[in-house]
Amino acid sequence: MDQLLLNQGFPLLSTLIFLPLAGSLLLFVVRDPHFARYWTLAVTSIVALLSLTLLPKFDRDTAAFQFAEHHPWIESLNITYVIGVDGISILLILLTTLIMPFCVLASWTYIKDRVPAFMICMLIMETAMIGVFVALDFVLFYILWEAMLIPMYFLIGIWGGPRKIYASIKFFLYTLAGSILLLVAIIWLYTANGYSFFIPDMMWKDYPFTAQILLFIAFFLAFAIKVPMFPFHTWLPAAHVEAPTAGSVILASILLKMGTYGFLRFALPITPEATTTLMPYVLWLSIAGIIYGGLTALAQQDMKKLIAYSSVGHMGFVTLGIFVLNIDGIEGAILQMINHGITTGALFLCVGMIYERTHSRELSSATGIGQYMPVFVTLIGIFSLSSLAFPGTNSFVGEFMILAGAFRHDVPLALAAIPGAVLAAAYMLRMLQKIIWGGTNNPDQSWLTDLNSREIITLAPFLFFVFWIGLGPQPFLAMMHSSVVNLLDQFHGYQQAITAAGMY
Amino acid sequence: MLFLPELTILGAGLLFFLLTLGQPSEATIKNCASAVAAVILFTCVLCVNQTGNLFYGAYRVDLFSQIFKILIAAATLVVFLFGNGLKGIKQDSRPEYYLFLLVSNLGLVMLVSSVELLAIFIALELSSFAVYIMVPMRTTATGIFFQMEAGIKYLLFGVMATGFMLFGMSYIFGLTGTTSLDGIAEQLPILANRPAAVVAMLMILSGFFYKLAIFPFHFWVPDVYEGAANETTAFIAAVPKMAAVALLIRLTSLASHQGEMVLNLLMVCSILSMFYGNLSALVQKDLKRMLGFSGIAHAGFILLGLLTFKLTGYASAVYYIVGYALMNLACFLVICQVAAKGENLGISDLSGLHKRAPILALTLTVALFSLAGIPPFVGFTGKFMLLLGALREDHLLLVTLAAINTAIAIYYYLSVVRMTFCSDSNGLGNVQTGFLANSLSLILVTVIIVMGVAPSWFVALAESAIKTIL
Amino acid sequence: MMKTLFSADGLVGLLFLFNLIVTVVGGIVACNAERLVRAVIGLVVCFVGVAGIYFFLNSPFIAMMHILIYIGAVAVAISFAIMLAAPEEKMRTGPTSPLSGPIGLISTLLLISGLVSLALKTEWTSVTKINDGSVKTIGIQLLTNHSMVFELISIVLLLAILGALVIARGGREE
Repeated sequence: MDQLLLNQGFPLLSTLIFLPLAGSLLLFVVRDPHFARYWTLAVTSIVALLSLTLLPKFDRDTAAFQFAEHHPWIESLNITYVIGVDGISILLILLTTLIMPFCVLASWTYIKDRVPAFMICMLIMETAMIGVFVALDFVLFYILWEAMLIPMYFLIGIWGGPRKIYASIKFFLYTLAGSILLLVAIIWLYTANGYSFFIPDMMWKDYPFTAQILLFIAFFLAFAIKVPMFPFHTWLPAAHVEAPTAGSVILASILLKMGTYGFLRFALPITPEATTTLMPYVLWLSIAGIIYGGLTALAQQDMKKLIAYSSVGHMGFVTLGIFVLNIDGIEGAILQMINHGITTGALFLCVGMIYERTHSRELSSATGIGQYMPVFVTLIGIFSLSSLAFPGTNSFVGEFMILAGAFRHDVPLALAAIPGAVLAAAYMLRMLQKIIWGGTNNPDQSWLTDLNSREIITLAPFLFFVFWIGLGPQPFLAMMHSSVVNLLDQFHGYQQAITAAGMY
Repeated sequence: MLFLPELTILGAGLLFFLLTLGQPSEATIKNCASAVAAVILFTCVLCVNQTGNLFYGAYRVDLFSQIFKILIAAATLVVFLFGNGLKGIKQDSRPEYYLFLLVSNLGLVMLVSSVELLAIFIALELSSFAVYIMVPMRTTATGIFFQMEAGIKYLLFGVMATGFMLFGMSYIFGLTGTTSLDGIAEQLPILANRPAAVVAMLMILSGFFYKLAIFPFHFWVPDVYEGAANETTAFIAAVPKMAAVALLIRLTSLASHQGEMVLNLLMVCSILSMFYGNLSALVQKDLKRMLGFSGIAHAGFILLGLLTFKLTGYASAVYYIVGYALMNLACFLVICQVAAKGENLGISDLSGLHKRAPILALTLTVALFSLAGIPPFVGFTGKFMLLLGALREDHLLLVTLAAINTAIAIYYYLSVVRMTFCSDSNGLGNVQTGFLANSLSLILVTVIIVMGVAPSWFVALAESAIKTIL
Repeated sequence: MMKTLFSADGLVGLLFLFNLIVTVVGGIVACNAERLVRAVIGLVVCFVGVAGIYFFLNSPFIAMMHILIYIGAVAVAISFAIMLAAPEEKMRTGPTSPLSGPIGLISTLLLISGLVSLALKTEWTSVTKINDGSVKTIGIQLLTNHSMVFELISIVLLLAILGALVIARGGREE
């Protein structure tokens, strides 16, 4: 338990987790749509503000889990309610809490039917997402990880587009099938660890090599499907395209990060030996994802699909960064996780705003709107540039660090990732060109109105973070630094111990 | 005092026998039934701490049996309460229907206390006979014309299974010269590796495999589920299975010395049940048939706990069957309410239920997600504990296959959820639900969630109960 | 040491064998007869065989009762039912797969051979005669050691009667 810095006084993390859930209970009773909107906005905003109070108290110099809380839960099985935050998870938690109010704002007029039910799903989602990032008990983690599927399933299945049934079931089956073996792995670890589910206790143990490989495969299936890595990505475009805007944003900004978070939190520390052995395969799968995502995105006519496939490419960069296993790579990957959350989230919001006006996500029906919606195209232009990692925007920093890490690891590998960056420029500029100027046969767009103030407020914070991280990433990197250094130190220490043991 | 619950049920049976002689009104029957069921539950709770032997050692009252009695009584009370005025049963035989339900209940209650082979056999027969009769009592006004066929099927398979069981009992008697479980428990370790003892044990188990619908004793399930009235199916799906698990625990704890052979066979049965149930359920259109097949798969899961031969495994099995009964009761509550005339429901008949009856839709969804094993519901916690217990005994392959089955099962549960929540009502009218049904369904939902999040209390109770019989 | 067939034990063995054959043949006839009446006769023959086994188990009283109740009452009741209902004699319904016969035969043979070899290979503890099987001891046993079973059976019988009534009544109305 020395990895925990127990929280003194007000249980901030638990409040963050349970406040949305408690808020959702009221909506079961009060069924007024207007009230539901304001109430959810209020709850998510309070959670966002509360989460910001984590920052000043967060100790950047330690790799231990901070604000930790520890309560017995199911004593007969030694399952505890234990939560905590470290440098890897704090940014993801902040990303989650800060993005939720804007998802609510984005759904203000987009969702017309069954508003209270929608808001209940959003609030339960928030509880589960924050919980996944702070859980330090494997069962708690798994419960929240799976429970998240239910509200997301409903978000896609009820408020989704025309093929919502197909998309929602595919999403559910893929993610669940992937995480089923994770459950077996969890129970195996429990029996191998003296009947404890406490995650930090499971790390850096010398499990037998075969067991590590099997564990890694179980982890990999669960997390690679969630990321999603090529070739497990096929659920993603379907789910993104059919989900309502808020659903797409949550999916892109937060759910995908859970996969990469899982790699960092579990795969690396629990199965280091297997990670080293299987690293090359994962790296080349990441490269395949980057190239594949880029090429497919280039061919899309549907804007949401385009962004969805670009996500496959971007997440390929993130996994690349994680598995090169050096400080630049991993820090870049974490930063890129945040960046992708911001940029892709914002892009989905933008597409949602067009969709609310034209009721079409086809690129061809949104051509040439630059003339009539100047504010909108400025914003989407900036976010697109951010997405293609234009210098000065957030993604540039992340991608640059990842590539730097990749070069340090292996030059051919890094060279193989470069076309991905070029492709990103190609598909994003193609989309921008069509949206802003289009061609000679643009449909009549003169009836379109530009963004209203609610929509501008929704997008403004994203813009702010795009430039903040793009121009001054230091505070963000500083927060994760100790944890990442600790992770790598332990990892390399473990490797040395293995080689040393192998000499005899 | 020891025998109070049983006497109450007998008395209730007599009351209903008298009712069948007159011509009571519908409301009287239903109120009587609910009141009687509540009284039975009350007496069961009252007698929870009793211990003692009756009938020259053939009948044992201990914590284990008393807890199962409470569970059986509670489940029966729920069935009595939500029966939508027994629309599926022929009008003139409704009092008799309650009578048979009570007698079946008596059989089950006596079954969990029986510790002698003959008593077990007769109690099992008593509970089965009543259900055999209840199946064909469905009225043809529901558009179903094969209730007789279903009843005969149930009877024939039942007789076959109990025939196996009786044959096994004769072997056990031949080997040990006694019919009391205590005497058998003393002698079995000596006989441990005799093939005859293994075969005999498996044959005895098969009688309860039949009740629990474990492969290869599952053939009756789909047709009986479909052919019987909704209320009858609810009863069959929930109540006898609990008693079956109780007896399986009593018997497998005897078989634990027999080692590999029994273990391997139980494993094979478990795996086949899971795969058969889940794969068959994938293609079902009728809701009850689907639940029937899913029940086979869940029975396979329960075996996972029994074949650990350990206290925790047994406790998880008890926890799981209780959870399973709760989820099934919730599903059937919805079925009974939606099927206003007592007809069978296709999955498509549930479309747009969220508009037609929001509370029922919520109940059904929670129950199905729980059946599918999604946290934080009781189904997940139960499944988790079963897998955990099995992996502690190093059955890695079995656990992996079971986990894969969970993933298969999701699909058909989701397709029902999809109908209730993600589609329009297609012109189907609103469902009339009474206050009673609504509050009952909310209570079931709450219990499903609370038991899932805080299982400690119940598991501890189950463990202390099982300790009394090990 | 081989006992001759014509010693006392040998004759008893022969009788026992005969008894078994009667039981099995009766059972086969009951299952396979085309006409219901013949099936009932098969059942009667089978009951006689079973009664003989009771006799060999030192329970002459139960053997008597078995003949009295099962042949004298149950079989006669079934015969009455057949005569009153006059069911159609066509017993076979629906086409059966050509494979079902051989598969059934093979599985039956496997089961039988398995059980037989099991029975032969097991060393059975020979149970000594526990009592004289007289009416008095049976009565005492039924009201002491097996009193619960005895009481429960009465409920089972009541249930059977009621169930038969309910089903028969419903059948007549429709």
